[in-house]
Amino acid sequence: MEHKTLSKFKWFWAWEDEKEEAWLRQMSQSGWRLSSIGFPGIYWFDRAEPADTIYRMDFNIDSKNYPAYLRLFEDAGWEHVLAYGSWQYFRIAAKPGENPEIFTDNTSKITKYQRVMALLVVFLPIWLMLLRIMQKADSLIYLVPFAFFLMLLLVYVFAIVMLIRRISQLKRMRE
Amino acid sequence: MFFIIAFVTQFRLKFGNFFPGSHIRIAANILTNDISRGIITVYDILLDDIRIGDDMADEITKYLPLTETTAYTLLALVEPLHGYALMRKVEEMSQHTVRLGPGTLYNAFVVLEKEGLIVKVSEDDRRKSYLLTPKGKKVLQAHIRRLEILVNNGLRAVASW
Repeated sequence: MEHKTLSKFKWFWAWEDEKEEAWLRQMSQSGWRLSSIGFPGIYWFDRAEPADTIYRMDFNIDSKNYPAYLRLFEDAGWEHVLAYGSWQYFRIAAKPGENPEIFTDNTSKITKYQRVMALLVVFLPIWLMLLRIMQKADSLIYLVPFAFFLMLLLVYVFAIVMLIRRISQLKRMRE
Repeated sequence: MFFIIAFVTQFRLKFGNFFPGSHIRIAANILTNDISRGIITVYDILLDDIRIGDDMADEITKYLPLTETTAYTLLALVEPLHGYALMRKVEEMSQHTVRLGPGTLYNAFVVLEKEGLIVKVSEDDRRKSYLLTPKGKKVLQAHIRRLEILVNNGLRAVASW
């Protein structure tokens, strides 16, 4: 009997969105249509006819203009698949000789990564504060959560550094 | 275990007194630490787009030169248009040399409206229509003047080949 749905765990960093888009396209080519995404990185697919579908992701935190934002994409032929946090997933059927993109210049691609980074940076002081509170406690018991937070903080800093790399890469391409 | 304690102690020494304080103070303290120097860059990049000259004389020229996306967006908005109509107009007007994706156009609308170069004139069925403002006209005019100089120079050069 054929499975109707499929769940897959896969982790993509924010700067690997192009890799994720390519993977989703491959999945749809082999007959799996993205239906939802759960934390952390669990992708749900429905069985469908194999189709060449192009996926694109945007990062939008502007909730006030959200309906108008979606309308603009719909008008341009993009189907809004789902929102995963602030990440917006769109798809469109691939047509030969056409190369549909939601971003047609580097500036708007940079803006997207800057938004992701802004969100990370905003919460950075809170992380440092938590760490500070924990290191104040002198009991050894606190070392475990402290080490845990420290590790998370390192991941956090890693993410910011990688986003900066991606942004400066795009900025070089723009010039 | 010893390693962790040693690390914690070192961490205390390095980050000893950054709290409580403002962002700037945190940034200044982080500056002394090599690992976290990248964070400074974050603030730099984020402030990059905010740092625009306030000089009134530069009110127009600070936007120049416009990107092709921006120039065509402004040019199309000599009449009120919503997003999709604008995309089609630009594609036609540019003889298919410029295509605007919805993500790019949405960002352009947000920025240009914030800068007062365009203004929202109506909203119908979730579609927002925008129009060029007098300031937007001045900016576009100045940009076209620049392009005119370029094109004239270019045509002269090409003619002599």
